[in-house]
Amino acid sequence: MCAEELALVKFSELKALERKTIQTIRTEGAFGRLSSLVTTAHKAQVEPRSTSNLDIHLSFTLPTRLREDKGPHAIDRAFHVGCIAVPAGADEISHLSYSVLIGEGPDPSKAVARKFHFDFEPVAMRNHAESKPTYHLQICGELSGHHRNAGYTDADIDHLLPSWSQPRVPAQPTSLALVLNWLFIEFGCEAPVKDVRTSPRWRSVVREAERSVLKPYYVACANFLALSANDDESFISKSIYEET
Amino acid sequence: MTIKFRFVWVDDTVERAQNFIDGLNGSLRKTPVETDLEVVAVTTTVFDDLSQKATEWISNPPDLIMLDHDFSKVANRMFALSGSALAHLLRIQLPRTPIVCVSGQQVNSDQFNIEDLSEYTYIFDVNQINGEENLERLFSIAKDFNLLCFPEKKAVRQALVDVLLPPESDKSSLLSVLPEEFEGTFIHGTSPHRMARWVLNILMRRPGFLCDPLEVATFLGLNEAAFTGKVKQHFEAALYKGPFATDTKPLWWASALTDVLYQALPQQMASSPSSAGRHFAGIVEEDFSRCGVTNEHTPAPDVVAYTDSTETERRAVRSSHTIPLSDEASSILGFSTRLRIRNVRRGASVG
Repeated sequence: MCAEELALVKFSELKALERKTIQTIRTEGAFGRLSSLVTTAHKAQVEPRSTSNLDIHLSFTLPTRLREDKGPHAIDRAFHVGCIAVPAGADEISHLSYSVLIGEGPDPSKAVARKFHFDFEPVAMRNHAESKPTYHLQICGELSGHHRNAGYTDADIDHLLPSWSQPRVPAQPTSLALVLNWLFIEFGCEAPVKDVRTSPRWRSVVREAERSVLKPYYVACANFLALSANDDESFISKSIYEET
Repeated sequence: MTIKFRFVWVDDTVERAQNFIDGLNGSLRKTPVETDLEVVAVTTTVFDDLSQKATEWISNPPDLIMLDHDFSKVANRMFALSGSALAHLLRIQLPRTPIVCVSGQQVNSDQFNIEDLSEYTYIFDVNQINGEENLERLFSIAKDFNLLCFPEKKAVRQALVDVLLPPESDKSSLLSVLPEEFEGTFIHGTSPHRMARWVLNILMRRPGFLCDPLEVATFLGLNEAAFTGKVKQHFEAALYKGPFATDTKPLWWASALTDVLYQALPQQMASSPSSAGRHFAGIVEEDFSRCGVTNEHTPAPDVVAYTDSTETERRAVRSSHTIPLSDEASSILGFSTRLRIRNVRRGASVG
């Protein structure tokens, strides 16, 4: 399995996907009941012809109900979902990161409960002295400018040890729609969230992202495992970590 | 206690209206209702007749005006006068009186155009007006229209949201999805009518903020009969009690359902609503909702969809079997897309 096989979609294709996701959030009826998400989507800029970095940040609240919550009421919690994509060469992507920050409550006055990000670091662009999965989940990480603008400070994430860059957990590729849809599934027992997930337009956007982002990845993985390459090489080291 | 209304019925077929003189009685939210009905005939002198009547009604307005739409029995009608044109003229003088249409014509027939539809606060099929559900709807409009007549200088959008009595969590969403035409503070003469139309025809009809029994039942993993017969009483706190609420067509606030559900069944907090709802006392497997396509009860159907584009029958189904009701179906922010079951035999993929 060569590096190209694990490469993500083209930069322009990714932008088109993310733009469609933002447009759907802005206009699909069911999202109107997650009004903070609609508001933040209206502020997001995805210029289709621009070749500069893609930088999206969605700051919103969702009604959530954790098993551990006390009391019968849903609790509004802050969610920050970001996307940074750096183009390289002929419509390639040199770095792609989707960040997720979840607050204990609806605003930064409450502690940061979870912070992590999904990274794509193509093998050609990274330090080969350090083993890391091409697609990985990394816990915490530093605050972005968007997080700071939202009111979070370093003290809010100190307990998550943001300077630790390891472990990096192998993960599948993702996109804005896939990250959001995953959050809707994880935190989706409230009716407004469930209605968003079941809306035909949103389902269509999610499936398109799955076809564009997940299918090539899993086809490449399946091919590696199906072919004799796996007889000689470990799938994890050769395919997931792309070790030479 | 009995609620007494005074209605006016304007029709070119006065016999039809007169048949209802003693027939518009019933109940509104468990309170008996009696109605005095004044019938006004539409003739060639309709403008003079109604102008005089309207002048009288300004000082003593009726609680509701019922208008026929088609006046084709009147010879030499100026401007081919219809009920909607009369509604417009009457509303100028009586902005605080709801004006509904009672017509034998289907709403989607050629008899109605979009301007017609917007002039009536609500449209009833005259052949079904004496049904219990329609009568209570009629009474609710007569009784509650005034709730939307806010004092001048009051912030209309906030006042409308407040009068709907929504759960706290829905207030900001409602404020953000209200039509732009609802002014900030100034009350236009037709504001009560336009707000009533939005409440009746969007908020109470479109899936989204409010759920009907089939939608609530599906959310809870139950069929409609089981919800209505065994579980409904638990959900009193989520019941919609704002303007035009009725007992015969109850609605529940979607965002309040889970609070009530997990309050009633705290041991099910870790379960999804469609799984938790199946743990109410007395619920047996026959009460579980079943997918209208596969007839399976597990996994539970997660949406309600029309069986076809005629919009006559709805079923609980898995969302993967659904597509938007039509290609032209509009998307109103805050309200979910209406669905219909995908034609399985054609094997078309979901859009």
